[in-house]
Amino acid sequence: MFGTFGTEARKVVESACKIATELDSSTVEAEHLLLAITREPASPAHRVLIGAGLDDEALLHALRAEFEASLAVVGVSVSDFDVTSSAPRRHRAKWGTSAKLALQRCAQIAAARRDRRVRAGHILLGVLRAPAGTVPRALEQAGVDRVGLSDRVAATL
Amino acid sequence: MPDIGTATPSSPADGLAAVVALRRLADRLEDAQVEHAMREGWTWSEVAEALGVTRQAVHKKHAKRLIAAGVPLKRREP
Repeated sequence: MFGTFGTEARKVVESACKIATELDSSTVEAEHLLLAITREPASPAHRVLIGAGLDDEALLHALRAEFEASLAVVGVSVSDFDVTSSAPRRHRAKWGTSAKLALQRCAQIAAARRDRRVRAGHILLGVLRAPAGTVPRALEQAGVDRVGLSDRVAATL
Repeated sequence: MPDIGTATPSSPADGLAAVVALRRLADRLEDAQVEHAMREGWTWSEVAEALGVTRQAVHKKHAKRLIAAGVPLKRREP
């Protein structure tokens, strides 16, 4: 049997759910998996991200920049809206499609490599190999070479 | 309100990303505005009608967090 989620990968998945709620998102998305890995210091995947300058703060900044740039495309500025609420979301965030697809790719990568245990690195590869979406756009805007980064992550597996 | 003609995105990637970002923004705006309405003494039925959703849907989505934040909630129309 290949592709069983190990402790490290499970921690990333649980942490992603918490981060989504923390950021007031109604769904867990691929970017929350990525943020979870930046907050999981024990894994080799984490070290590759830090080596690329992608710590938690840099990533949040890149995601914010992507959000604002995408709104600007249709002439909308976040600063025009008062979106402050003193009552944060209480319910659990549901799994969003971008995170599901990333985890699907992650399982496929682990199976193709015949790796018995899925680790944070497999999840990170699943996130980084998305053909489109928020994460690729945020990383592009942050000037990150996604292919080079993927190669370095694959080398740790 | 910008002219949608001049605000037409140049690439599909930009245009689709704008859709995602607008949905997220609308989600946050809903949280803030439902809270605002309830603080102003609106009922769940009124908020639901204004949003074009059922009373049950709006209650399920927002009641827990507003109660936890101590927002006074009106249960029925006077």
